Amino acid sequence: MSDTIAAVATPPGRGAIAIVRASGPAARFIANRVFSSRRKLRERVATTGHVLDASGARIDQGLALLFLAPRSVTGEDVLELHVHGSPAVSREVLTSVLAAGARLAGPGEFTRRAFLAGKMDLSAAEAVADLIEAEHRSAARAAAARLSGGLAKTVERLRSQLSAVLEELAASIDFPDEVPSPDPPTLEQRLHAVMQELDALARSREHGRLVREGVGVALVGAPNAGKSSLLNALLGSERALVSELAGTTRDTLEETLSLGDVVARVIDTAGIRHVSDGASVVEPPSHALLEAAGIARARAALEQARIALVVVDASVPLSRDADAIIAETRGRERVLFYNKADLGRIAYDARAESERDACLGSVFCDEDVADVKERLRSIAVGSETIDVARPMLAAGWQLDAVLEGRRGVSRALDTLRAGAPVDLTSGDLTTAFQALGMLSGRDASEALLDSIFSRFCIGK
Amino acid sequence: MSRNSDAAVIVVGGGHAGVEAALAAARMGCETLVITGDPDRICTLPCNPSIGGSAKGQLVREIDALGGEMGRLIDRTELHVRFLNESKGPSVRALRAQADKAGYARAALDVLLAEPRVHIASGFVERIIVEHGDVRAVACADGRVFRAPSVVLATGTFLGGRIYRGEFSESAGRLGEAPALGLADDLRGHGFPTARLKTGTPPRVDRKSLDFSVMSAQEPSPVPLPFSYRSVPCFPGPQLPCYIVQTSEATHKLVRDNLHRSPLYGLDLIRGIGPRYCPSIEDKVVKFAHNPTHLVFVEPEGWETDSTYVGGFSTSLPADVQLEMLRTLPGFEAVQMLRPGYAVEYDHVPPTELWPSFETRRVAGLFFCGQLNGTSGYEEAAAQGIVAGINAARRVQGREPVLFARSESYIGVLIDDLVTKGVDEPYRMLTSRAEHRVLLRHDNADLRLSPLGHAIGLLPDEDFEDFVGRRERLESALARARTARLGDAAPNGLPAWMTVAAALRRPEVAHTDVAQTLGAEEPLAERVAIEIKLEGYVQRQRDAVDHASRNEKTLLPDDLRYNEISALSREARDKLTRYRPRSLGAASRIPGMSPADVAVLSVIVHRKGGARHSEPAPA
Ligand SMILES: Cc1cc2nc3c(=O)[nH]c(=O)nc-3n(C[C@H](O)[C@H](O)[C@H](O)COP(=O)(O)OP(=O)(O)OC[C@H]3O[C@@H](n4cnc5c(N)ncnc54)[C@H](O)[C@@H]3O)c2cc1C
Ligand SMILES: Nc1nc2c(ncn2[C@@H]2O[C@H](COP(=O)(O)OP(=O)(O)OP(=O)(O)O)[C@@H](O)[C@H]2O)c(=O)[nH]1
Ligand SMILES: [Mg+2]
Repeated sequence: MSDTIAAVATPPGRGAIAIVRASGPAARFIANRVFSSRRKLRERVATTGHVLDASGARIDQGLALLFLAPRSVTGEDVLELHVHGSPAVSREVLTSVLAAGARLAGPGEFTRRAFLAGKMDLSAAEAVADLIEAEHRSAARAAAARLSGGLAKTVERLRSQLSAVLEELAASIDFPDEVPSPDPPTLEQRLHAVMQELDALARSREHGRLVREGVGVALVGAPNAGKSSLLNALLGSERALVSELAGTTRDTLEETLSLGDVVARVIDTAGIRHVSDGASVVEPPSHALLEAAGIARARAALEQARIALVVVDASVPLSRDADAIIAETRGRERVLFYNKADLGRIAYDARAESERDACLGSVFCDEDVADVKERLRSIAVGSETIDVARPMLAAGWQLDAVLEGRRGVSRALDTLRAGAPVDLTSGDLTTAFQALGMLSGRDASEALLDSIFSRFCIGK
Repeated sequence: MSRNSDAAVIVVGGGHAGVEAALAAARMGCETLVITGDPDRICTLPCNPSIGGSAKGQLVREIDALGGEMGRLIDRTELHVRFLNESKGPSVRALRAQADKAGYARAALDVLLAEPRVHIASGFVERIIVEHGDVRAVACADGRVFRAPSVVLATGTFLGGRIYRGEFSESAGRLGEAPALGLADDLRGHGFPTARLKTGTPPRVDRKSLDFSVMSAQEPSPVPLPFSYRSVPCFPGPQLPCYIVQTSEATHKLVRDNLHRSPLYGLDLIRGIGPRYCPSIEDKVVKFAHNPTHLVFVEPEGWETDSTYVGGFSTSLPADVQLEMLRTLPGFEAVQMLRPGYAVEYDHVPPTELWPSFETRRVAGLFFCGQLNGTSGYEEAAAQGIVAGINAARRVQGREPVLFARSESYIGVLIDDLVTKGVDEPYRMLTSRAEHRVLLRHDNADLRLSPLGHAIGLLPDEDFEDFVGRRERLESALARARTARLGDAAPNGLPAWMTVAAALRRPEVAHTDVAQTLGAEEPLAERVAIEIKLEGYVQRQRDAVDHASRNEKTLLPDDLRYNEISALSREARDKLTRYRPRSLGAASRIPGMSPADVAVLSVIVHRKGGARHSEPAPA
């Protein structure tokens, strides 16, 4: 455990503040690299300054806190960077921390370190142990749950291919009179095949991320169009504040929405309207300021989301603001929902033909909401339907394991191609074999331990 | 030695384990008494006539580097030697030699007799005398009692030994040697569990009755290849070839037709578990029925005997069937069988009864080593012997036991495997058991172990000085290799400005190509080449060792009361209480320990030990 891990410690999209946390011996070094402040960082003292990216450019203003071993949650040196709550910012900060020498934490790895460092009291440890024990007993089930069935099968197959090679090597070495040495060209071919599959797995990661993190969907539209109502209808619960007054939603609100086999992160935003000079002088300045900030955040959300869910009030003539948003999102992946159909369809009739993706309905009608959901899903998944049998990597640590396996096989191939003796491949092949074992939850107790803690939110 | 002791260390058994144990203890300054059934049969090779082989050869080198005897014994008595796995890589290269069996045993006896602190007594030990948990003495069948503060048992296959051939079976340690029945019962009386294992040996035939012209020959190395760093390279006598033939359907049919007369199959007399890597011909024919032939190795057993070993043909079928089977082999048409093969079943004590020093957990001062611990093979026995001898002596001297790490020696792998995992078949060393085998090579055994051997008083000063000289020459040659350019002597079109080291990193460049430029003689040039060629692999392995060492370094206090830790599973509590692993790493290798148990242990140890993390200096 000599390496330093990092992750975003706050749940995505909630709250104004995101915390990026790094734990390990490099934490202080990383602090010096990614954080610039006028005052020197001191243990347990919050210091304000700027978080820098790898090139030294400022990402965000924020606050840094340093906890030194053993007086920290994990018992190791810990750096906490408190930055603005936007997922984009926290992701960028995390990227910078990773670039400075940390590696992405595996699921539950912080908790695990805390546990192993004896930072949990015995009763907590016992509770955790119970969990691990339960998991241990159903190791096969756990592995299956963690990996989509296809991936587990692929990994298992690759593992058994590697193990066959390793066994042949070992047998030929320990029983040289009886067992011939595997011949290098054939060995090379076999390893090459394994490597190609590992490559394919690594590429499948993007697909997997979709499943795990979900697709970003920005709910946008003019004020009072019914965006918050639609969010509530999609979720089936009253999360967002709804009122007949325009400008109800001021801050962005992110919720997770299940679309069957895909998860969407839907962000409700403030109604976007064009604030012309002098047009809203009636409003007190502070109010206007607040609204402007909300609109800015809405625009940022729209920019970052993959899919735009545009809501237009169909019952009144198309407003200039609505028209602008429709134009702005044209050509993007979007769902264009003309709402309040129960009240009328003037706007829809005026524009629908030119906008092929338009649909008409009301948030009060379950069928219409289901239709919106289906449209979101089909865009999220894209032209490819999600094939559960197709191997997918979901989490970053799984990718790490695949890459580690790939590295081992690739080194072994280099060794073979250079004409070096076959035994020199076995160390690297063993590494690869173990890395894949971690992936399928088969091998080392370490790996299993890791898998258990994947239940805990990282960075807790 | 106190007044009422007969020796500081008593070693029971004069096999490979016993001899190394006795020599180690004596050389470390302890008066050592070897009690063995028949002193004329010291260090016999009851099965195959060879020493070394894959992984076993490394063990012999390690024993030698520590100051043990096996390497020098075989160097003085080998009639065929060669390197195995030469093309597969320096990390798995190993020596194997065929021994003149009688000569080997004689040489061992000579060394024992010449060692001033070794005394030999003939006798059969029946009882271990224990007081307050400490060993006090051993009692022989004839009533004699010998007292010593450390006792090493190295009784091989003799505990409850029983041999089988066809319908014939008799109680024996080896063919023609009485078993140790009383001792086996006595050990059980002290609470030691025992379990049955089995092994076997093939028939011996008369060399004069064989037609070697139809067999394929395996030629020995034309140049001497000593096992020992301390031997002068020279052949002790004429070097002889070995031969290979193959079984045929006729052989297999005989086996199948007579399975009902096999104590393993039809008769179902043997219950002990035999080694999978050394199956009898019955097993081969039954379990690998699809193989049309099996290899048979024909090996001389000595210069002055016609007895020839038929390797790969281990069997316990009746003698008449054995003869018929032999006749089906090419060149064996007129074979004279000198001695039929047989199987032996014996008791072993599960090695999980032992600390990594080979001291038993039940009785302080009592050490077990060799086949008694469930291993098989001369080299495995000798390796355990030297460790038990060292630690028996250390105990008498009031010193901490010497421990061996998995990352430092095959001996370390052997010990750790035995005491943490136990055995479920006779244990043989294999390269694949050593996860760090790139580090555990034939060539560098001295670098790994000679400093230790000298520090504990086992490797003599003059041998250590030789080693230091060797190490210095190696280091300066390595330094030279990194700066010296190939120059005019550049081999196969390599540029003259290339350094010797850079050239050696190319697989096609051999040490002989650059030996001159380097100004290094044969064994040195080769070692330089190996060090350089393996550099990258060695570094990666070292990193892995460092990474894993955290758990190895987390020691479990001896006074931990596992039974009171309710967070541990019942199985873990039982196993930890029984095996008392030294480190968290060893605990995690105990079969049946779940990750949860390891995690709980880790929490507990870290709390017990207080803050283990050093407080970093203020930035
Ligand atoms: C039939 C047979 C087949 C084998 N086949 C193989 C094989 O295929 N492959 C392989 O690797 N190894 C094989 N071996 C094993 C190999 O011979 C042993 O592993 C090795 O010799 C063990 O060494 P040791 O020192 O532990 O015991 P041994 O060499 O058995 O020596 C034990 C010594 O202890 C003495 N002794 C025993 N009990 C007492 C007592 N109570 N009091 C005093 N002295 C006692 C005996 O006289 C003997 O000198 C075989 C052994 C036998 C007998
Ligand atoms: N009749 C009818 N009323 C609707 C429908 N959808 C929303 N409304 C009403 O329209 C009003 C505004 O709805 P909100 O969901 O708050 O609208 P919004 O787009 O979030 O508004 P801002 O947050 O202010 O931008 C509320 O009074 C809703 O009840 C609909 O389909 N039919
Ligand atoms: Mg709203």
